[in-house]
Formats: sequence, structure tokens, C-alpha cells
Amino acid sequence: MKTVRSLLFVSLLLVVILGVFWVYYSMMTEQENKEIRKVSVILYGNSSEQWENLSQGAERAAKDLGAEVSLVTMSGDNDTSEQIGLINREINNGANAILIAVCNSKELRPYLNNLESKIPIVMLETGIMENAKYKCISSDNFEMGSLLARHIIENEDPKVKVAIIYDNEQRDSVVKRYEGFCETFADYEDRIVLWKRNENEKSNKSMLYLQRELTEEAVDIVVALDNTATEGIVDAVLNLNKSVKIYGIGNTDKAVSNLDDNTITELIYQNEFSIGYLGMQEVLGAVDMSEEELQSLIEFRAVTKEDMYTAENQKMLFPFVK
Amino acid sequence: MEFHHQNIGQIGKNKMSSRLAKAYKKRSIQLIISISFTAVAVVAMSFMGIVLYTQFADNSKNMAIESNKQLLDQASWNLNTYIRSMMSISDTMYYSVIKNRDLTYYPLDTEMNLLYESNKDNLISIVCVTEDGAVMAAAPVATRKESIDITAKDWFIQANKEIENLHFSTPHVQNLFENSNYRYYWVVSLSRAVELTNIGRIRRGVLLVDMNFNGIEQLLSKANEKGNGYMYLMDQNGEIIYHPKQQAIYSNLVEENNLEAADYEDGSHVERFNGEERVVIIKTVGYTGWKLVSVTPVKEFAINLNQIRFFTVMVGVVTIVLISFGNIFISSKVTGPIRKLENSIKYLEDGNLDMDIYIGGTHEIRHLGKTITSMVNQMRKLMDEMVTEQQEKRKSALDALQAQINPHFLYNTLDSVVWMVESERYQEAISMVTALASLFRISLSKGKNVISIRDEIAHAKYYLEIQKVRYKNRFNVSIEVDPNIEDCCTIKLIVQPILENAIYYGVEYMDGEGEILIRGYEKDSEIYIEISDNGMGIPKDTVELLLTDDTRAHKRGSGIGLRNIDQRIKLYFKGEYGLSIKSELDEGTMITIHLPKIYMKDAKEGGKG
Amino acid sequence: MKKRIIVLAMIVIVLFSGCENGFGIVKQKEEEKNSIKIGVSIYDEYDTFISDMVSELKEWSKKKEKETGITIMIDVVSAGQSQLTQNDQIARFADQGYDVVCVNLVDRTDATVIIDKAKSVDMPVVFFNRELVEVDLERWDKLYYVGAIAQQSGEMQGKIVVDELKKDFGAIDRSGDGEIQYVMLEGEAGHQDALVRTQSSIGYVVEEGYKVKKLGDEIANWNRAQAMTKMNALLKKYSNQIEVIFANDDDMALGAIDALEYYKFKKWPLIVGVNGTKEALEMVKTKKMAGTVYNDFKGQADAIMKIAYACAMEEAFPEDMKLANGKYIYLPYKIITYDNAQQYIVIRED
Repeated sequence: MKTVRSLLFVSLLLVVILGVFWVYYSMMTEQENKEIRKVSVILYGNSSEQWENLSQGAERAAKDLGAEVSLVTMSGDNDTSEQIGLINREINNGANAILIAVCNSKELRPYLNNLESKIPIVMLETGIMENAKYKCISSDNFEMGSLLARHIIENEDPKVKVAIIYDNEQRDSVVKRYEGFCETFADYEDRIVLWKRNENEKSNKSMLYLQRELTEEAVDIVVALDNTATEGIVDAVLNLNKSVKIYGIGNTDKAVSNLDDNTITELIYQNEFSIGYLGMQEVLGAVDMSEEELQSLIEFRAVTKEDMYTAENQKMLFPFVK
Repeated sequence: MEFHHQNIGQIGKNKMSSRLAKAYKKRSIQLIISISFTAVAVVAMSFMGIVLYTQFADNSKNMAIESNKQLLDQASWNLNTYIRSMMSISDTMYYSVIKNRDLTYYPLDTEMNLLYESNKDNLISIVCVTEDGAVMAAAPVATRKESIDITAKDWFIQANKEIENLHFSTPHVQNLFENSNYRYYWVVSLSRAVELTNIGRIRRGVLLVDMNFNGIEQLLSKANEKGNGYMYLMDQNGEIIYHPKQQAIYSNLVEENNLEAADYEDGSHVERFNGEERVVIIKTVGYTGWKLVSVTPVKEFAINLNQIRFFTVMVGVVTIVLISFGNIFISSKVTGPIRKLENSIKYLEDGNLDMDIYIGGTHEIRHLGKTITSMVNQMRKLMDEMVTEQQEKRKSALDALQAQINPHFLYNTLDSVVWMVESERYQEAISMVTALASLFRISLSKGKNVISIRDEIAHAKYYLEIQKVRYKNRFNVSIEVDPNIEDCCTIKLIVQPILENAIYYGVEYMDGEGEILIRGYEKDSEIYIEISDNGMGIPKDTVELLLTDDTRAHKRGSGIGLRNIDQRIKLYFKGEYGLSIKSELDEGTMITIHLPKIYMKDAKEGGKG
Repeated sequence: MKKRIIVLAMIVIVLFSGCENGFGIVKQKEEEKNSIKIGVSIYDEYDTFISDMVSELKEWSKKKEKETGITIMIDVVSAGQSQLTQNDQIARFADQGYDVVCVNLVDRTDATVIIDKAKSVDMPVVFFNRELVEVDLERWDKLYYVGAIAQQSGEMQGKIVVDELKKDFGAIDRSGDGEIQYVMLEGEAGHQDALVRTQSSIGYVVEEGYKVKKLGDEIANWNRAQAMTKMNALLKKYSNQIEVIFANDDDMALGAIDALEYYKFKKWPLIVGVNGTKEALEMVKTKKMAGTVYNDFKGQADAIMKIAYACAMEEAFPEDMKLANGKYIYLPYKIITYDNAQQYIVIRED
């Protein structure tokens, strides 16, 4: 009897000590493992320069929330299959969350809506049109287009001829901006021409086909609805030394610099830092807001050469790049 | 063994609960000791743990605040140095170059370039402008942007407002010169009013030193790498100059309590912002009026302490567990002896008086053990005595029983009767048989042990009658018994055997001159019966043996030795009573029976045999 | 009884070591390479040549990714011309477990901190374009350098000028004094390439037997706008006297051109630069620049990435790569003049 009891005691003691150590151990390692989540930010386009502000915002939020960011860009601008491949790759490599700026809204919709993965996904800047399974964080694209139109109406001669660069329309951000613009410009509809790529120009740089358009058609104002279009038309205009007014939507250092030397007459920029920041917060679950609420938090502004150096605008146009 | 001591009342109960109750009772001392030790340990450890932990928490909180203060001081010192060096560039440019020079003849470019080159890590530009806003000299880039109105610039206006001071602007993007590759620079403008000499004429101008904001940013971001919490820089109005989350604040995604903090005095404060409690330390940087603000959310301390808390609790738990086991071990060591002692007593209760009582443990328990052992020994002795006594009684009784029917006496007497009948001495035969019958009647006394002295004397008389016939008056017997004692108790068959001895060993060979006297009297409320004869007497050593040695074979007589009589008296009446023998050779012997005076009606009948 | 305790104790010990092993195994699994992280730190994001290199690095990675299916994460940061910032960046790469870093040093004399940190976490470093001293490079066997030989670029500059002089000395020597008056636009003070190019370009001309006279020598920090400013000052001072402008790189040459255009000079001096940037090639094509020296950024980027990839994947270097002293790869420069300018414009775009 006695030996059995003693044995029981000793083994109970050992079990308790083991248990304590195990709990301690697992708590320690859990703490370490729990912390770092990996977020993949998959962006369209092959350059990361245009996404500088957005990635800054994403990284800032990630740092605050203890997550790691992998920035993924594509090798071309619009290859849907490549982007899908990248999404799959990132998921397989163990991404805990994904932020994505889709290169083609329509073509990515079936893929994204049918995606079986459990990880949180948030779309940035451009969505996949109706019935999206995931939230899209962007500014009010429709309003941006509308604002552009309004300013043209206010500041320009009503008789001006306006060319809209209808490029990258596979992204619904562009589409919305276009719709916003057209609605406000409805009264002057007849003065709008659309510049689209020809079939054989599909893979050209935007600058080339715009140069063609510039030479073919004489317009007073060119409206660019996204960054690539803006940079393209700027290059085209400088190359051909044309004097057209450019009203653009964009965000890069280049665009800002061109605004400064008046190549661009007016630039509408959106606070991409906020998009990146809020996107990261949403996808990591730190906030949970509706698309409308998020949209209201993302500012966009129209700037011209005159007011680009005001204190407010400065902060947006010239972000602190680390 | 375990159920041995169950109370009758518990038999009907559930086995388990009774087992538990048993276990509880059994473990009582050990349990109490274990529990109380453990309770004490728990209380002590908890108390100590809580006190130490609170102290530690307080301490580490203070240390954290202290270290943040130090970081703040360090950053402030660095910032000061930085600002001073910028100021000295401006001073050098002004006092060593511009002031005493006629700028028409000696342009500023060389020195300006030199100053720029030697400080280009921290500078973006050095510019000297006239009161009309025209650029006199600039390094490194001098190609002005078109349509920039310098006179409208804040740094220009401020410099001219207070000409005796240097002015520091808030950070802004430099908008003066052409830049290549889409470059832009965030700068802090340090401007002052200067005197420009042209052909002897003095005009007002402004000297601008644009500091690379990067310098400030680096300084402060390095400070932000360490410690918990963060540090930011604002001007005297609360406008943020540098903040680790600057961009987010500008985008209205994150809030900071800078406007309120602008009103705080230097030193540490506790504030509540957005539901969070924070410790805020302010330090003003000299000359510029800028304030360095260090913010530490209070819960940051808590997070670091969580680990410690958890660790403390863990250690506490482990220690308590260890102590508990230790307690159980110690208490079992302490109560073990008690238990062993108790076990020994259990055996005792069961009647095993032969078991050794456990002696061990602390000296109190040893003492208990020893005492119990001696008690048990005493008990054993008493019991042994009792047994021996009972055995003796039984033996005596048997002896007496045996004596009641003494074969020799019977044969002889019957022989005598036969002879008498054969001799036709019928009357004597009848007397003898009658006497025999009466003798035996009293001998038996219906099985009683205690009879009256009257009966005992009567018995002796009958015996004597018979013996007289047989011995034909070879001796004389006189009986003197006090009538008062005749109703008192005596053990039967004590006088006759003595008489027998007196006859056989005393007077038988005295040829008619033998005298036997039986005297019974009361003295000091006790009864004495003396049987004395004037016979041969008994040798001294034999006298001693008579009462002690019962192995003597009786050659003659009833077989009840004197010892037997003495013992029976002692057994029944206690040790102070009994026989005593006095004898002198050739003179005679006197045997005295000493009895207590107890009337028959008062006598208790002892147990049979 | 005692035996049982001993047995129990042994079981406990075995369990514990089992735990340790378990964790070890888990950690090991994560190290199978299916993705590599490459950190790149450049001294200044606005340097045209460096920007071109970075684009090349990224393109190379994308191609390699497609080829091998291994994810290549390439993280490019700019040190903003601060060595301290760069040290921090490398430290961050090291702490985050990057497999290899490519460093374009801000201060070529100050590589110690980076080397020490990289060595301590066994992270190889490929230095490029801004050359550190050999002694530093020797401190560890996993340090490499990819660049070009500055001496060569200077000499080629000299050769371009000499060829022009040979063609028509008189057209260049406007003053007619038999001497070539020139100004030099230098890169940063103390910069390897700046010093060597400055010296070897003029040295070559002199060795070919020509007499030269230096009118001015300004530091423009590889910066176009600064070069323009300095050129303005020089033009103000020397005006038509300047016969040749040597610029240590194309950005500064373009700055000089900006100045000349600003002042609407009619007769331009000979202008030579180094690097072969897109704009410079255009200038050569339009004869505004006499020539430039093509810095094979593609070749260098290729070499950098090959070394970096091999280091990250812990493989051997490709056989066709020959490293001088086991550490250096120098790619040759190419002279660009009007004749082959167009060809190189195309090569660039490829």
C-alpha cells in the first residue's frame, strides 16, 4: 500500500511540473508565433513607383499591427492569368491575408468570388464590380471623375474639345471615373471624343498610341483617368511638343513634378497612403467598416500649380518616403 | 482489521462514505498538519508574491518613465546640437562673409559653395535674397523656378518681422529651385534678416538656410527605435514637425493629442486620450520653442509586466505544489510515529498483549510509547497473576475436592468398621459409620467453600471421634471455641487436615500423653483458631518448607498440605490471613489459623473453583 | 521504490528532449527554399543610372521567377544619401532574415558597419557601382563587388574628345591658341568614379599629345540641377572661352546642356558624359553631346542578380562568371558616339 501511494505522489508531482513547463513553453512560443502575420500586397502594373504611397500606408499599418508585408507586382500591366497565378502562389506560400489591386475587374471577378481560401482578402483602389465577395477600399471614383468634369466646365472655355483617354477600362475604378465624368459633362457631350487603342496597339506603351492620337486629332484638353494614362499623355505631349491642357488623375512624383511645370493643368490625386493603411487595417481585422465608411475616409483633391504648395496639399503630394 | 472497530450504528451505511469517514478520521492529524502547513505556505507566498510584484511593477513603471525621460533628454540634446550647428552655418555665412563685404565686387558664391559642400549632409540650400525677393546667391542650385514670389514666402516675412532673431519654419517642401528627376525636398527653413552692402549702400536682405528635414527625421526615428512608446516633435503652437506616424496623421487616420500637449509645462504628465491612459513627458528645445514630446501608453508597462506576472504566478503555483508535497512528506514523517503508536494500540485492543509497542519519533511520542509499554507490561503481569491465581484456586479447589474423598482415610475407617462388625462391637461400628457420614456431609457442604466455624469445628469433632476409636485414646483433644465466632465464616477443611498432621506427626507416638488443643477466639476483630499439640515438633527448615513447597508427597494424611490450607485462605480472604506455624522440637507445635471476622450471613460466595 | 523514481525521472528527461527536438524539426522545415528575399539599398533614388539599374534588377527577378517558379522578393530602398540610413536599412534586412543584400554604398569609405552586420548573420553582400576599398572587401569571403573600371570610362571620354580633335582640331579650338580650354563638372567629393574619371579623361587627352587648360572645375554631385547652376556660373565667367565640357556623368552633362540652352548659346562646346542614359543618348543622336560612355547597366544588373541569386539559393555561381580575386566583376564600358547612338538606344530598351 505504502509504496503505491508514494509512487502515486511522485508521479502526480512530476505530471504537475511537466504540465506547468509545457504551458509556459507553449505560451512563450505562442506569443512569438502569434505575432507576425504575413500579408501579401498584390498590385497591378510592373513598377512599384506608382504604388509608393500606397505601400507606405500599408507598411505603416502593418508595423503597428505586427505584420509583415510582401509587395508583389506583375511583369506586365494587364495579364489576368499572371495575377491569378500570383494570388495562388502567395496563398500557397502561406500568406495570412491578401490585399489586391486587380488588373482586370471583370476577369478577376469569377476567380475571386469563387475563391475557396479562408484568408481575408481586401481589394484596393479598384473593385470587381457588382456582388463582390470582398470589400474594396478606394476613394469615390465616380466623384473624382465628376470633379474633373466640373473643373473643366468652370475653368475652361465652353467650346473646348475634350479627349478622354479610354484606356485600362477593364478596371472598374477607371470605368467609374469615366461615368462620373460623363454624367457631369452631360451637357457638353458632343464635345467629347474617346481615345482608345487600336487592335494592333494593344500591347504598346500608352505613350505611343497617345502620340498617334495627338497627331491625328486636334483637341484642347486631354483627360486622363488613371496614372498610366496621365504619365503617357505627358510623355506624348512633351515628345511632340504639343500644347494641350492635361487634366489628369494620378499620384506619382512624376505627375506632381509635371504639375509644377504646368505640363499638367490640374491633377486629381487620391490619398493612396490612406488606401494602403486602411486596407491593411481591414484585412488584419483591426477595423471593420462598410465600404461607404471607408470611402469617406479616403480623401481626394484637385490641385493646380497655384495651390499645390499649400500646407495641406503639400502633405499629400509630397509624402515622406522612408 | 479495519472494520474491527466499526460502531454498530455504521454498519448500515454506504461502504464508500464510511471508508472516507474512516480515512478522514485516520488521517486526521496528518491532514490537519498538511493543510495548515500548506495554508500557511500559500498565504505567505501569496503575500510575498503580491508585495514583491507590486513593488516590482511600480519600480519598473518608474524605471520605464525614467528611461523615457533619458531618451527624451538625449534626443533633445541631439536636436539642440543639430539646430545649433545649423544656426552656426547661418552665422558663419552672415558674420564671416556677408556682413563686411561689398557684394558688388565680391560675390558670395565661393564661400556659399564651400559652406554647402562641407555641410551637404544636412543642408539642402543656402540662399541669400534681397528685400525685393531677388536671389543674390544660392548654393548648390541657383536656377530659380519661374514665377516664384519669394517675398510672399513665410520664411521671408518672418525674418523681416523680427530682425534680431533667427526664424525656424515648420517643415515644408522647398519651392524655390528647379529640380531634376522629379526631386523634392522637405526642409526646415532657417531665415534671418541681413544687411547687404552694395557699393557702400546698405540694404535689407534675408539669408535662408534650408535644413534637410531628413536630419531631424533620422535623429528622432533613431530615438523612436528604443523604449516603449514613441517621441514626436512639435512647434510652440502644437503643430507637428515630426511624428513617427506623420503621414497617417496627415491623412486623418490617426489622432494625436498634440494641441493639448502644447499647453503642458515641461515635465511629465498623465493624460487620457482616446480612452487610453498615457504618460506624456515634454521637453522644450531651446531657442526654437519647439517641444519634444514623449508618449508612453500606460498599458505598455502592463504588457511587459504580463510576462512577469505570469511567471510569478507560475513560480508561485509550482512552489505551492512542491511545498504541498513537501508538507505531506514532512507531516507523514511527523505523524508517522503517532500512527505507528496508534497501530500498536490497535493490536492491543484486539487483545494481543504480546505485541511490542512502537517506540520512536519525537521524545513525547517515545514517552507515550514507553508509558504505554510499561502499562501494558503491568497489565500483562496483573493478568498473569490473575491467571495464576485462578489456576491456584482451581488447583486448591480440586485438591480440596480430592481431599473430600480421601481414599486412605476411607479405607482405614471402613476397615475399622469391618473389624468392629466382625468383632461384634456393633455400637462402636454404628458410631463410626455415623461419624463418617456426618464428616462427609460437612466435607461436601453441598459444594460450598465457605462454611461456618461451627460446622468446621463439628467436622473436626467427627474426625476426632473416628480417629479416637482407631487410635484408642492415645491422645486427648480439648476444644475451646468462643461461641461468638461460631457463626463466622471460614474455608472448609482447614482444621481437620491440621489435626491430622498433629496426630500423625505430632502425638501419635506419645503413648497417651499426647495433648491437642483447638482454640478459637476473637482478637482485634479478627478470628484465630489455634491447633496446638505437645508432640515432637517440626524441625526449623521443615517449618519453612511446609507452607511453601507443595511438591512434598504426602505419606499419610488427607493429602492437603498446610500450604494448600494457607493458600486457600489467602485466596479467599486475602494475603494477610492464613496459617502460621510455631514449633519447637520435643516441645510441641502450634498452628494458628488467622481469619477475618465475617459472619456467614455477610459472606459473598466467590466464583466456583 | 527508488528504482521506480529513477525510471520516471528518465522518462521525464526523454520527454523534454523530445519537445526540443520537435521544435527543432519544425524550424528546419521552414528553411526549404521556395522563396528568397533580396534586399537592395541604393544611395539615392533620383540618380538616373541607378534607377535604370534597379529596373533591370527587378526585371531579372521577374524573369527568373517565371523560369524557376521560386518566389523572389526584391525589396528596394533608398538611403537618401545618408550612410546612417543605409546602415539601418541593412540592419533591418539582416534582422528580417533576408538571404542576400545588394548595396550601393553612400559613403564608400564607410562600409564597416554593413560588413560587420552582414557577417554576423551570414548574409552575403553584393556591392555595386560605388566601389569600396579592397581591404574592406577582403574582410569576409561572401562580399562581392560588381561595377566597371572607372579608369576605362575616363579614358574613353578622353578618346571621344581626341577623336573629335583629330577630325577637326580647329573647329574645337575656337580661341585658336592651340590649347584646349575645358571645364570639368565633377561628381561628389571623394567619390571613386569622380576622382578617377576626372583624372583619366584629361590624362588621356594629354597623353595623346594635346595641350589643355583648365578654366573651371566644379562639383555638381551627379545632380543635373546643380550642374546647371554651376555651368551657369562658369558660362557667366568664361562664356565662349569654354571649348570642351567634361562631365563625370550624363546627368551633369545634361545640366550643362540646360545651362547652355538657358543662355541660348549658339556655338556649343564639346560635351562628353558617362553612363549612356536615355536622354544622353538622345543628345548624342542630336549631336548636342559629342558622345558618352555606355555604362552597361544591364550587364551589371545581370551579374549582380546572378551572384545574389546563387548566394541566396546557396548554389555555385554559373560557370561562365569569372570573378576577379573571387570577388570582383567589372563590366567594360562602351564608347557611344553619333554613329552607334541609335543602336544603343535600342539596346537599352530591350
